[in-house]
Amino acid sequence: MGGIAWRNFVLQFHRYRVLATALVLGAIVFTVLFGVTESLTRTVREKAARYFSGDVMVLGMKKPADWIIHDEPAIELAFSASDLNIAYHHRRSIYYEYDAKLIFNGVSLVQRRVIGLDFAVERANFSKQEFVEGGLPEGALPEDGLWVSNDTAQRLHLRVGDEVVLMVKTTKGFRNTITLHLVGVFQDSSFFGFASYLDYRTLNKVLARPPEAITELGITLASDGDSDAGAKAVWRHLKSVVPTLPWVGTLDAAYAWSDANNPTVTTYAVLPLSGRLKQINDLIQAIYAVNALLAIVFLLVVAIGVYNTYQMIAFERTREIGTMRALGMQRGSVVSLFLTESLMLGLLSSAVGLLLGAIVLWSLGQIDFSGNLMTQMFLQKGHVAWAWAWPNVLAVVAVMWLTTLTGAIRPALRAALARPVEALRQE
Amino acid sequence: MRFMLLICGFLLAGGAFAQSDSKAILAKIDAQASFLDSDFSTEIVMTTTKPGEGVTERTIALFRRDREEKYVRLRLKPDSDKGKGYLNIGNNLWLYETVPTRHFTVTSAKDRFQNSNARNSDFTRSTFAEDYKIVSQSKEKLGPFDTTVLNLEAIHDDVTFARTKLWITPDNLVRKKEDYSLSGQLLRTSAMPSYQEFKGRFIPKKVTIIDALMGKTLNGVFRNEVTEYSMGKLSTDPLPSLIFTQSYLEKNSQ
Repeated sequence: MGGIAWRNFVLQFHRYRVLATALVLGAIVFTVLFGVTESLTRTVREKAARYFSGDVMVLGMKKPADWIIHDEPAIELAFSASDLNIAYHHRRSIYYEYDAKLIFNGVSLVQRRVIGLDFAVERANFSKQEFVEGGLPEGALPEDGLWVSNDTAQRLHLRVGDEVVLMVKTTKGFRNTITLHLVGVFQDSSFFGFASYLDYRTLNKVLARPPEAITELGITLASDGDSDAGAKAVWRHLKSVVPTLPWVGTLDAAYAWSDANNPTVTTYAVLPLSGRLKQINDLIQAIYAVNALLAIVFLLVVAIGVYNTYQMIAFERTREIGTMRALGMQRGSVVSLFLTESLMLGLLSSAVGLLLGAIVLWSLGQIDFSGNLMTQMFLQKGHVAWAWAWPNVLAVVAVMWLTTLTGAIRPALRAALARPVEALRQE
Repeated sequence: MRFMLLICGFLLAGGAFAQSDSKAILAKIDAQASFLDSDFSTEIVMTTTKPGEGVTERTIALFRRDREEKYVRLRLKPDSDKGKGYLNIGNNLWLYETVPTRHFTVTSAKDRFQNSNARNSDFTRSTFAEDYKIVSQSKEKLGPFDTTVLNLEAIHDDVTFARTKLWITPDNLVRKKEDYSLSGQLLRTSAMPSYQEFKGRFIPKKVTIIDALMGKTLNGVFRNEVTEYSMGKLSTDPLPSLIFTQSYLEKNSQ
């Protein structure tokens, strides 16, 4: 049956040409669509996880707020006991006011977030920043080192090696300054670009915090990790060991709990990445929603096209079917023949489509979009990062085969049910 | 042994005397610039020069009731700022904005005043003795003045600057002031070369504030941002209590 179907498929290919083209185009569109979506969301998540303290993070809540984590071993134990696939650990001291200023050559620029990293823990993750100038030198890092985004560097006309003054308010509210040396400039003009990074002990010094104080601990999960499930797992382990907030899910809810309960001892909030920045989460959901809508509409169009084309093909081949039936071929075999041909069509079109789609996706990744500030958040070094969303692509291939089969089955059944004599009379 | 105790006692007594003497100097400075027995009002003309960006001129009406820790600052000029103002009662400072809507926001005495190099705290009564301790002092010639230089450190966190340095002439007038961050970075320098006597108090004729960090390099030379202000139309006439209310600011803006 397979041999006859293949022979028929090759001989009748001129009839399948339009259908095959549509299916190839469909596969290209879906490959690109899902690839780009996967790339954009993965990049946003990666940047967000680096900006915040990973996919799962732990913060200390206390009134009055000092943010300092006092039970680090218990939290680390909760991370390891939660049986999560951890890619990176985060250990940070963070300035939580929005008034930090970098001052260079008489010009100041407010930074949304000043992040003190424990480079002994975070070096590998931080090295994934896209450095456009300087970077992470080998060996020991300078205590007064500073890393800023290219946007900040451009606005302040900064070059690596320049002396920059960081002005913040200490824990007691005094204005304080420290002179830092610019070591690296990373590419990011998006929301995540308004952050400066330095050694956590240096930040603690200027904030008058204890030298070894840490205010956020976190983990980044391997790419297939679910941050919500991960955070819940850590929370379940942590709550039995140290004072822990009930499951709140978002930072706003954690603040609300703290305001309502006024904890006098440090009480820990376990948050998933999605709970740190609702807007980013909403953005990712919106991308998925648009993606799903496009996919459904396109699949519908393809399905209708396939069905109509198969009707035509079955009609045009009525005499051929009559001949096969007259030669003794059973009705079931005729249906099988048509379905096998449609499967071959689906397989071949999908394979060609996936290949061409991959080429388009790769070509798209070669274009530099860095001039567009709006898209910076989604890009790596100004480019769409290569991402092959296997589950989605395979699902689409399966759906396209199903569409081809569905489109073929009714005309095939009608053709098979026709009496050979009547079929042979067909002109 | 007895001799050692005597020496220690002498040193301790000497230190306490020096500290109380220094406190007395700060208290005298405060007394000369505060109006605890009457209300005080003045009109301040302020110019801020941002190199390469031009000069901004502002006129502000200041009403103070030092004995109750209250003051109101109304912006009179430029016209675009008319109706805006500040109200301070105790430790609470509100900023009244008229754009985009009329509303009050809480602000801090430590914050900049209207994007100038002055701080809100520059316009309140002088409280050096309450806010700072003297950590060292020396003598220095400042232009034509023989001055005592006092290095001060904040004793609580309600002050704008953690460290400050004063150049004081024998008549207990501050001629120069440097404000530092907690780490010792110079943030700004203020100069008050001449004073006007008014009802037994001394008010600077002109204050020049030079921002140590902000400015611009023009023709290869770094030019600092500078704010200058002078106080005129001085008065100690009693002010109606209504002035020190939010409703006054609201009414004034209409």
